[in-house]
Amino acid sequence: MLTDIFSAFADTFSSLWERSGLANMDLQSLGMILIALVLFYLAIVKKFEPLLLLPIAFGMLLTNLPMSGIFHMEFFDPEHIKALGYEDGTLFAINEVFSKGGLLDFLYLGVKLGIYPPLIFLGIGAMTDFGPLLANPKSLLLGAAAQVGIFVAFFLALFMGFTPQQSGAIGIIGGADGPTAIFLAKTLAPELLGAIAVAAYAYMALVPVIQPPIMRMLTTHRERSVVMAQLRPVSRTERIVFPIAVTILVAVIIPDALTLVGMLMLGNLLKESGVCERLVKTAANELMNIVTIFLGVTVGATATAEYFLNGRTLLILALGVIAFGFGTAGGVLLGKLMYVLTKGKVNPLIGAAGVSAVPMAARVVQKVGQKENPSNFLLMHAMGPNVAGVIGSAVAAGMLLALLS
Amino acid sequence: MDILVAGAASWTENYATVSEKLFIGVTMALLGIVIVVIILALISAVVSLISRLINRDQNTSTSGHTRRAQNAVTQPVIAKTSKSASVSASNPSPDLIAVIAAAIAAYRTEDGQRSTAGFLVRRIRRV
Repeated sequence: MLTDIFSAFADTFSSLWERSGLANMDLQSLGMILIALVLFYLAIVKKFEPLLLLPIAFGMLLTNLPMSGIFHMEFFDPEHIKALGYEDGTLFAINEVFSKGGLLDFLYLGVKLGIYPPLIFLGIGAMTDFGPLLANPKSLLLGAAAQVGIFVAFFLALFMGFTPQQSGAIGIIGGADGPTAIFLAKTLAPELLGAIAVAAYAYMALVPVIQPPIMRMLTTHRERSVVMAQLRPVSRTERIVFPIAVTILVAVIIPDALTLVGMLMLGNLLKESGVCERLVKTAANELMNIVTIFLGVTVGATATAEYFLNGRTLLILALGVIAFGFGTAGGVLLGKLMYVLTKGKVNPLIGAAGVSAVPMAARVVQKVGQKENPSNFLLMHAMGPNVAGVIGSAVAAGMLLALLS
Repeated sequence: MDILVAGAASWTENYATVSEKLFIGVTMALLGIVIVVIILALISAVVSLISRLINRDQNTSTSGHTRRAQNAVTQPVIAKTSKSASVSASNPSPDLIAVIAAAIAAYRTEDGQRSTAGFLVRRIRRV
């Protein structure tokens, strides 16, 4: 009798232990949980892009807790789907999610189907003032020059053994635009989506750390101290015509970029028209915040130990920082050229804002400029290249999509 | 662009050797940066053109207003004013009274004394 009771207790405890998280914890998951904790620290204590980094870190934590089963990366893994003999990965994922999926699987469909990035762009458009860009259209060229990092990273990734499609998806990290990176990666290299998204958002958060040394290295004290002339006021008509004209132009030249650019311009037109106040408020606040939470948590959830902790991810992180660095350098160097051509009227620092990362990159320019000359206000001048960078990275993504998919 | 896209599938298929990688890498890098620069330069040109057109229209209408104002100043306004004043003095039209009343009301605040622009209406006299 006593032995039976003891045996029942032992079986129950053994079964409980086997099903506990502690018994199923492995070193890799522990490593990922530590990374999530570091991201928490950066988001909460250092305040590095907390709106993005915090949901990403929490998604990472959730997915790596042993036995959580909250997210099933295998539903979306193209190699796994191919091994099962299915042709259409997206259809397979949808079927699996609807029959066996959990909350994060459902939310991840928004990434897989490319719904979240355009919605984020709609919100960005509703929040963005293109006035500085319209007042100084030449700043669009700075936004183009800063995309050079994308192609440098593409080149390097190809030589490191990635396929052209994977290289394109990795290169777009240099565009410093999380939604664009996700939009491209989910089409060109879905197997790298987690690593690319985490790298893109982490580097966007680290703009104040990465950019200033490059900016100082490439410019002289005299160049950094240039005070730029005040921008002209921009009329309402110009502001309204701009999004319509850009949408038509992009659609005509590079239709693959239209999803992102079109939504960006729709958001901006809603704002500038002045007749859709409620829609602007929704796009810029509620919708944007909801999508940011969904996107952040699900992107974080893709970073499982199995898919994230490998040499490939480390390479992607390294290539991402190279892309970012070259992008910053490209913008600053064109800024220097403009400085020479205008006989010292353009501060080359504003070129660094050409990597999108709105408005962080423009704030960094303001900070670095003010360190050299405390009476200098470069923020509005840097906002031109900054918003041009958003358009530039979307165009670059469209181009890569057209050439590689 | 369509030609490039049509050829895209084939020219990125082989990337095993160093020379193939070099070809794809250099081609893509050059093509990419050139296309992005061209598109943004085009947008920049279109924006400049739109700004110029819109501002020209506004300048034209502004200068039109200015010209009209200048003409109004150069015309013999004294004669006209005196004529209208004499008309109103002898037979004040209801429209003129309404305009003057509205102007006075606009300068007054709720207490009926101090104007919003810091002016004070002390006396209203019928001429």
